[in-house]
Amino acid sequence: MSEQILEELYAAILDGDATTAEQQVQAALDAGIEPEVILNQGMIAAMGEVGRLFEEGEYFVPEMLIAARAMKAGLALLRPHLVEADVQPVGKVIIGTVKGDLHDIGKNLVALMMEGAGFVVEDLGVDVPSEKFIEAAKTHQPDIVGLSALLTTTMPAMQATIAALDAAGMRDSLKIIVGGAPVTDAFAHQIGADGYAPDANQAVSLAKSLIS
Amino acid sequence: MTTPWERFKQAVRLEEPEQVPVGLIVDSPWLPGYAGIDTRDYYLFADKWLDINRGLLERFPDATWVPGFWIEYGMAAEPSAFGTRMLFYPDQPPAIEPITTDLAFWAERIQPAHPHEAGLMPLVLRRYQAMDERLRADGLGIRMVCARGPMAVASWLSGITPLMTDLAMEPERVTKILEVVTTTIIDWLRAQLDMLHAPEGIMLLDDIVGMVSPRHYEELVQPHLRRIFDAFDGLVRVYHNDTPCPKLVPHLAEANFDVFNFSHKMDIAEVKATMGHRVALMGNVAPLDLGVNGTPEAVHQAATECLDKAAAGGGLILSFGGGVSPGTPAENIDALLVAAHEWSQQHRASQ
Repeated sequence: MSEQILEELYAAILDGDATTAEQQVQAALDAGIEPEVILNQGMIAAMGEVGRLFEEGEYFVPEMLIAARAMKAGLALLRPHLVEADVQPVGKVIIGTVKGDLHDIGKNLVALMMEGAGFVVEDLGVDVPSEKFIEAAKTHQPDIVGLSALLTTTMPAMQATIAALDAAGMRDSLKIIVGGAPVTDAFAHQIGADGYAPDANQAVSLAKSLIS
Repeated sequence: MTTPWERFKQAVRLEEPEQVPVGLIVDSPWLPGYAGIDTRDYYLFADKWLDINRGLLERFPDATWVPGFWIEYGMAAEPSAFGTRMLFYPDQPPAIEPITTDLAFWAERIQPAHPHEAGLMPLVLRRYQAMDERLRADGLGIRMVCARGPMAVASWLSGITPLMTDLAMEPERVTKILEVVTTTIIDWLRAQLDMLHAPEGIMLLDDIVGMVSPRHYEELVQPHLRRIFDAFDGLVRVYHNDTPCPKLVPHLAEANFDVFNFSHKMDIAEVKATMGHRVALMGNVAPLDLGVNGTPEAVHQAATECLDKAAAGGGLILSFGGGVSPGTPAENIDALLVAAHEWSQQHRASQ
């Protein structure tokens, strides 16, 4: 019975069916399944599969977004139970698109996949100045700061943000990852980031490896 | 000796010109910085715009600029016609800010925009008319006009994330918006062409298409792309989409364009094998890693590899896999031109 509920939750997330995902989370709670088991076996596993399918070119941006939407619907129901059971997140992430850049899709995909992997994510939005990253880092004490840019003209703002975090004395206490269409591994090294990921799924793997 | 534009058109017809043409997409992300002026001045002062664009012809006489003499305000013209906010900067093209991320709002209210009245479009049209006249007096003229594609424009109305979500969840809503946007794009391209004495082509730019699955593409996107390209049958029709989208490549040619400018992350030999019998390819040297950050030698080497893979048999326009990125030095464009010249000479000698 428990296994079937978790399988249906997994399938609902893969199908992007938010209503069923919510129902199955509730059914799992009603059946007495531990919140951590629901999270790990039903939701994180499903989002891992979504990431794999995206990387292999079987899922595309719309499929990934609606899967994440279903995951978030279920997670909203599950979250109080996770808190009650003192289930710790994998890590904390703050993420934003850097100053001057209003593009959100890459940042949103990474934020959703991070959340789907068990991270707590604070999304700072788009056009985020370095001061706001510093303020958020002070408030949330993240393990990871994610910087996104879609424009070649806004890539220098990534370097400026890293420099600002450094000047604020916070650089050594967190890891910085960067991504976005024009960003490359070489650029990430050049500006002093801790890593670069070409897509949302690889951003999750990178974040996990950096905090492990 | 054929001109660069004639060689370009030969390649468009899938012929093999005596020299592989080099065609480069240039616009306001690159040109103001290249010329050392404020991006806003590039948009505002017609004489500066004209001098910079004419300067390209003199500095790179063997290149074809696509579209060449492009009157634009970054990506702002089309979304401005629907009322979106524009944020202008001194060192980059304007950013567009959606009025609302709710596509239901747009589906309920959107109406076709009139190019002679809406947003920045009438200003672009007036300038096309005036500049074409001035260029004709010098024996030149504007050959091509451009528009952003339906998915790109729709994404500026609402943001990409809501558009992608609704594509999966509310396809009828998205279709309604895309139909109106597509009608506007066709009217917009026609209005621009009407301003010119001797128009020869259009270019449509839509990277957002590359984010969707083949099923969504065929059902919800291709009908609109096809409607646009069908409306301009007989002209050179260039489609730019530099999102890596290998799964879409087998389907894209059905949209009925003549030239495909695509991501350097897709192998040009594979793209040619899939669609090269129907469509000329324009690519695909890495625009940032090599165009901006590479040495001329590295650009030359990558260009030669690209030519080796895809030039034989015709239908290739050597280019970057996307537009000319901000910061691209002139020497790296020279390297592309030299590579095309040398490869063509060796190819002819070997036949």
